[in-house]
Amino acid sequence: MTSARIGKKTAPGFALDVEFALPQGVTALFGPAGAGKTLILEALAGFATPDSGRILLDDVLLFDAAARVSVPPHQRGCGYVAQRDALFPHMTLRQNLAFAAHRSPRVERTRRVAEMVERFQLGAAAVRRPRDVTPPERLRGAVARALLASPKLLLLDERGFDETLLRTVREAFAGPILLVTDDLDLCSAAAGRLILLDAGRMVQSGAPESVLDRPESVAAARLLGIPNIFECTVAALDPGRRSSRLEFSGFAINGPYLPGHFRGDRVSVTARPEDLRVHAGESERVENAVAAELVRVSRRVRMVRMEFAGGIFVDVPHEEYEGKKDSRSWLVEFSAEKVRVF
Amino acid sequence: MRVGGLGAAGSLALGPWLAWLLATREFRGKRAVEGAAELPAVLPPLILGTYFAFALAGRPEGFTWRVAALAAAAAALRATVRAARAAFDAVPRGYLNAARSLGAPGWRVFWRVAAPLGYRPILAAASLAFARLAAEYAVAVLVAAQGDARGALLAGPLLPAVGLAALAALTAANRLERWRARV
Repeated sequence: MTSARIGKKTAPGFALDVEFALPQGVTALFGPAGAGKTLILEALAGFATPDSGRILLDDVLLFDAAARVSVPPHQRGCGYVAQRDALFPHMTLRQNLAFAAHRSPRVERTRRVAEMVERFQLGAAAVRRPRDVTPPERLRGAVARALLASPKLLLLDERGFDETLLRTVREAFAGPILLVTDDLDLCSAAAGRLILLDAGRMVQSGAPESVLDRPESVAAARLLGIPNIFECTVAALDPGRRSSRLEFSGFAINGPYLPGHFRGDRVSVTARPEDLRVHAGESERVENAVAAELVRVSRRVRMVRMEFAGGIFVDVPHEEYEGKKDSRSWLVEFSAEKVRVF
Repeated sequence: MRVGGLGAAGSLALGPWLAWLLATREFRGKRAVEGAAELPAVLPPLILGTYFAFALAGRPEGFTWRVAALAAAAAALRATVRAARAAFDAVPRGYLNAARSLGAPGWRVFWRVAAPLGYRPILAAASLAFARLAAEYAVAVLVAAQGDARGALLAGPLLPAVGLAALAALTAANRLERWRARV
């Protein structure tokens, strides 16, 4: 079992306090700059000493603040790919790889390096120094080098990973991988677990699809980039119909039933922009919709984001927007099942 | 030249290791070692050499060129240790951390990563130390020489050789400092 409980104060006002387990496969660490992602990786690798906590890797104790145990970094078996200054600049890529395999006998070392060069498609780049190769080759070289040291845990603090490279890494390494990323699509596609981190605290963790679909707090919704976050009042609760009536400043909608809440409670509501629907014209009769004034439209690669007064954002496909764009009045429909209430 | 060369070489052999130890390890007596490395700042090589002569031969007459070279190495140590510490501090932590995460113990990180990336300022400091040591030893020899011997020394190749060595060392140090590692 691999698990970590890490507490550390760095700057005034910032304290890291996290606890998580690392199963086999990819665990993605997602959060804004300054959330403590790199500090977590450095604590696991042994480059930063936590003030409190305990780190276990494959049931081997690496760190225990109470028992004053701290295994030095070179004995931890944590492969680490840093954001910058990863490959040694005075060595070629092949020499970098050979450095990591220094414990193997010469023939074995040559064979393992050649295998990694081929696996990570470094053929032509292997004889060049890091400054003379492309950034993707540098990243592949750094990962190949980390794997050559036969780590038990792989720590990837690099934003350049894509699905293909991550798949190649997983083919070569069966242990737990902790990946720092700001790409939610990559989390969804390649990670088995997602941890949301903000200001040194874990906001939410779980399977990526569960975290992405069902944020459990306003903080999680903010981290996931959901723009529709509203404060409202519970105006009515109907246990029979399993529904509620939520009053916002200027409009009201039907929401899901809220066990544990009372009339008059202040709650927060979030809704993904793609979970809202727009209807053009006032003549349509639409359930659970509010009239809204269109403020701004921004065209994205895959959809059009429509911003309405009151801070309501709706994502619609390009074709749908083209068909409705001449409308002068709009209705925004909320789905009671898809709004999240905290 | 022999005293200066051996002194600089001796400090170069020991200085970077000592600097690496002081920069990366915490140990009992670290402050005392740091203080000892700074001793040449207040004790000139001539005085240091006399102490060594007493310590090794038991009398000041034991101040041979070998003892002078030993004193020169101790005197130059301060410059190389300081330069090496600054050089190691300038090596990005990322490279050192990467080496550690690859299972390299401290000596291997020093030998394969820190030293190759930071050797230029260390060499520059050693070359300056060489010029200074050669000049100081020449002064000591001139002061010690009497009568005709002093005249012969002044007329001989000693002074031009010291001047040339100083110029060469300065040029080398300047080039090493400016020749930034292409990374």
